[in-house]
Amino acid sequence: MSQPTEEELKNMSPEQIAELQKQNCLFCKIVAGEVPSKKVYEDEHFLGVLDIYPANEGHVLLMPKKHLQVMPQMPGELVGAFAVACKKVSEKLIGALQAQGTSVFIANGLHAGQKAPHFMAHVIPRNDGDSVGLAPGMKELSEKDLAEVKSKLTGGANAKETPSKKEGGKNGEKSNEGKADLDAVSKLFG
Amino acid sequence: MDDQVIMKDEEIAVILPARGFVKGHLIIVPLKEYVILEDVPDNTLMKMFQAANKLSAALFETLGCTGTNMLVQNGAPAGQFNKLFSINIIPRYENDGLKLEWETKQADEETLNKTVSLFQEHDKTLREKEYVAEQKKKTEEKPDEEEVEENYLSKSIERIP
Repeated sequence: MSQPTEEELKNMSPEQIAELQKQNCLFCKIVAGEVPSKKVYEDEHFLGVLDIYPANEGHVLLMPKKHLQVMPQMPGELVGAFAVACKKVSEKLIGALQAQGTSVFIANGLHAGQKAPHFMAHVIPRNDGDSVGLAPGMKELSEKDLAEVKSKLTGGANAKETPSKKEGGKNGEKSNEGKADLDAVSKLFG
Repeated sequence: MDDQVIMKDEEIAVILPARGFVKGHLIIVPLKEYVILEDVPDNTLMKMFQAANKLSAALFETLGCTGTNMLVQNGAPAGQFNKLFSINIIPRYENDGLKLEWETKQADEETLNKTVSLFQEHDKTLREKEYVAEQKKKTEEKPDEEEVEENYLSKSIERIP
């Protein structure tokens, strides 16, 4: 298949560009079996292969078989299935490789470190003293910043229902018990 | 400042931590206490990922960040800073200086194949365990049938001169 010229690209619709991207996508070819890969997990919707440029041995790339670029494009039900697949791959890393822990890392967008145009999670086995990192330093956040984020996300001082409810989930609670919520949750952080 | 709960329902909560990686760092927790990813029931985990996904989109829209990360630090070697299981959501911007990357080295074919074998062996062991458990369950459910068969057999043997 010949590549379109710059002129042709400019005149393409978003759908046509997306289709072109899919046809050129290395990971779609891996899913289709056109490009060889080291498969370690597969179910109806997802494929897990070993990264050939791994952070360490056993680094798995878990991807949807369908071409998607970033997680917000994934429908809710598929996101749910993806969660379970991530957990299964993590379990396998611990069981098969005796990993002491795992990192599950998702990058949406170039500035977040996304390297491929096909959405995926990195599930990486972790052991004491390995050099993988993925543990940035923590810092005190300013009151001003915290207030700004809270206000932008909740559109007001009161906590609202969790975002997953908007798909028609169970009822959220009002935040009149604000202090009780904080107490219960701060315990979770030791 | 204290950590704040900014969203909550009967199963999960969204925390705005007072100490975090960056402004806009959010943490999703289940209200029940689970230590690691493998402890979390599927339904709860699904809900957490769905919330994480929506929050990532919300950060994108409200903070104007140009990317987002979702990070689970599963276990101390992975940097788990909460005693309990949680999912981190992190807004990203160009040149924000946040270190969320790793050094890569090209893996050799032999090592990759060895790893695939380890996965396959592990899967095989799991299937065998499941099979044994299933068989055991079947045996426990049908003792009478076996007893009848045994009696018939022993009677047949007795008849042999």
